Formats: sequence, C-alpha cells, structure tokens
Amino acid sequence: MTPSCETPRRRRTVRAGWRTAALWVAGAAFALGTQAAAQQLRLPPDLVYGNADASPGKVVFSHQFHVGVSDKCTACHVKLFHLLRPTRRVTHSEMEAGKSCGACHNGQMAFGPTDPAGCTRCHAGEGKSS
Amino acid sequence: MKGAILFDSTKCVGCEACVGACKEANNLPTAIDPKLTAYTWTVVEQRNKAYVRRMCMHCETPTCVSVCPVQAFRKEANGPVVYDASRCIGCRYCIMACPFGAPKYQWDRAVPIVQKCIMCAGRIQAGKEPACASVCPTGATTFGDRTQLIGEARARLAAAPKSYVPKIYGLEEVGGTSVLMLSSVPFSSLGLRTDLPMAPLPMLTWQVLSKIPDFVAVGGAFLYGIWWITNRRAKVQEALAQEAASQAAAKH
Repeated sequence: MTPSCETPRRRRTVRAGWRTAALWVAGAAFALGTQAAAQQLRLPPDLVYGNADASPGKVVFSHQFHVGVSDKCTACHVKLFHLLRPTRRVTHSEMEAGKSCGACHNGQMAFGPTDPAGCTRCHAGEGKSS
Repeated sequence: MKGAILFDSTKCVGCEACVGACKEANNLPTAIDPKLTAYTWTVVEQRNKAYVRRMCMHCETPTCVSVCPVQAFRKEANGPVVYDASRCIGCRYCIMACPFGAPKYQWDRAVPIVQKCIMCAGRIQAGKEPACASVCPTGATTFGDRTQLIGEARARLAAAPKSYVPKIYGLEEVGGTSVLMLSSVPFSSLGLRTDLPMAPLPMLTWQVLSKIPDFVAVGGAFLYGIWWITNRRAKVQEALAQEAASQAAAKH
C-alpha cells in the first residue's frame, strides 16, 4: 500500500473515533442532565402499602421511579389517585379488577398481579421501592 | 396581602400536576380537555418548545367584574376574581369581555353557568396555597404576595438575563394581573396576547360613561335654547298677526 492510500483511511478512523467520543460525551451529558432534572423535581416521599395481615410484604411505591414511566402526572392523577389528600386504599381483588395500581399493572401495560416473577415484585418490603 | 401566582415557563416541565390538582380542589370532572372549558380551569400548552399555563389571569381591574350586569363577578381584596353562580343570569357578557378568554360556559347543560379559575379562593381564605401552586414539583407555579412575587420575578430576570425575555407578563397588561408570567421565548409565541393596552380595560367604558352626564346637561340646555328661540319666534309672529288684525279692525 502506498502512503497516499493510508492517509484517508487513518483520517476516517480518527474521525470515527472523534464521533464516538462525541456521542459518549453527549450521552453522558444527557444522562446527567436528565438525572439533574429528575432530582430537581419536588416529589412526595415513597408511599408504603401493606397493612393487611396476609400481606407477603410491604409494597413501597416510588414517585421517583414512576415519573420515568410517564411525563404527565395526570397519567395517574386525579382519575386514580388524589393529589391533595390521601386516596382510599383498595383491596387486592379490587386492584386486580383494575382499580388503583391495577389500572396499569394489569399484565399488559405493566407487569400484573399474577406476574411469574412472584409477589415480591411489588411486595419487596420496606427499603426497596419501585 | 394581595395573593398572586407567578408562573415561570422556564421551570415548567409540562407534567400537568397543576391541572390534576385544580380538578381535585374544585371537584371538576377528571377528564382533561385540551383547551380551557367550564370543566377544565387550567391547561398546560406546549408552544415554541416551551410550556405555558392557561388560566384566569385575575386582573387587578377585571373586565368581567366591570361588565357583569348582576355583579356575579367580584375582585377579592386578597387577589382572586370570584364568581357567584346564584347571581348569574347567563348573559355571557363576561365571556365576550375577557381579554384572556378565561370564563367558559357550560354549553352542555340545560341550566348552564359560567366557570373559570377562582385562584382557589377558599383555600387562600383558609391560609393555604392554591392547589396548582401547592403541587407543582418544579416550582414553576408559585403563590405569594403580588409585590413580593414581582420582586422575585425581577430577581430572576436580573440573575439570569440570558434565560429570560426581559419582561414580566401581567405586570402592566390591562392595568396589571394577579397572575405573573416569565418566559425564555417571546410571550406572543406562547399564545399570550401582546396587543393589550397597559391601562385597565374598564377605563375604555368609563371614558365614555363619565362624559354622559355632561353630554346630557349641555345637550339639554342646547335643545332648550333652540326650543326657546323657535317658541319665541312663533309667539312674536302670533303677536304681530294679532296686532295687524286689531289695526285692520280699527281702520274699518
């Protein structure tokens, strides 16, 4: 190979390298940006469900996690949950019929109550929120 | 304290928590209309890559209050423009008069009333913030004293002049509003009216109405003067004719 052939190829590799680096930087900046944006949100603290005797473990609902699912608070509020006052807790069978969390956690929009991964997917206990 | 709402478009992420909270606080149907209706008192619109809230601007000198023939609208001393449905006769003059298109009519009801944002007057009375301000997760909608919020808005403009259009919308528009807005893009591109006069709109009516007593008095005097002159002429004519007749009778 003559040097005249090598030069453009090397230039191309260098350019590709730069492009990859730029993508990484942009990606990192975007991730940091979204993280910063998410941290700026003044969200309610995690909600703990699971006072029933037969409960296999407490369910901890995280607003922090769920704002990543939809960018509109109105996806759940106010038709499913109040914003200004506590919402009446429903039973597990009511939830399975599509109330409360069950409006999305029905096995189609999101994993449902009969998920093969088992009860612990929601009933993870306190300290583990999702 | 004169309550006011400061909406900072640069902080709004369009989550619509304000819309949801408004629905809940005012017992409105949960379905969200894309534009303001009698059942959706505030909406978040995305325009020019920015989010902007639509709601009643709670004018300092409200046109709706001015035009209402039965005083169904009232401007409270602590900020909100409230509405008394029991007085409303459904003439909808307020809907025509409002420069911001805030009052909306219940077109689907047999006995409709007008509805609009009331700045959660009941909550303010109870010492709470309006529902929208209380739930906003970014601080885009904040509630406070109008004078203090103007100071806050000026401080934000001074601290980050590059991220804002150098203007507080609602500071002077139609004589000032109790909803103030900040934006990074021109307000006209957010769909907000920038052709509004800086004087209160009811002044337009007052400019005409205040001249009516003078007009009536001067006009009345003028018409009386014309009547006096024509009447005198007629009397003179009559007297002359009588004189001529009596002279003619004396000659014979």
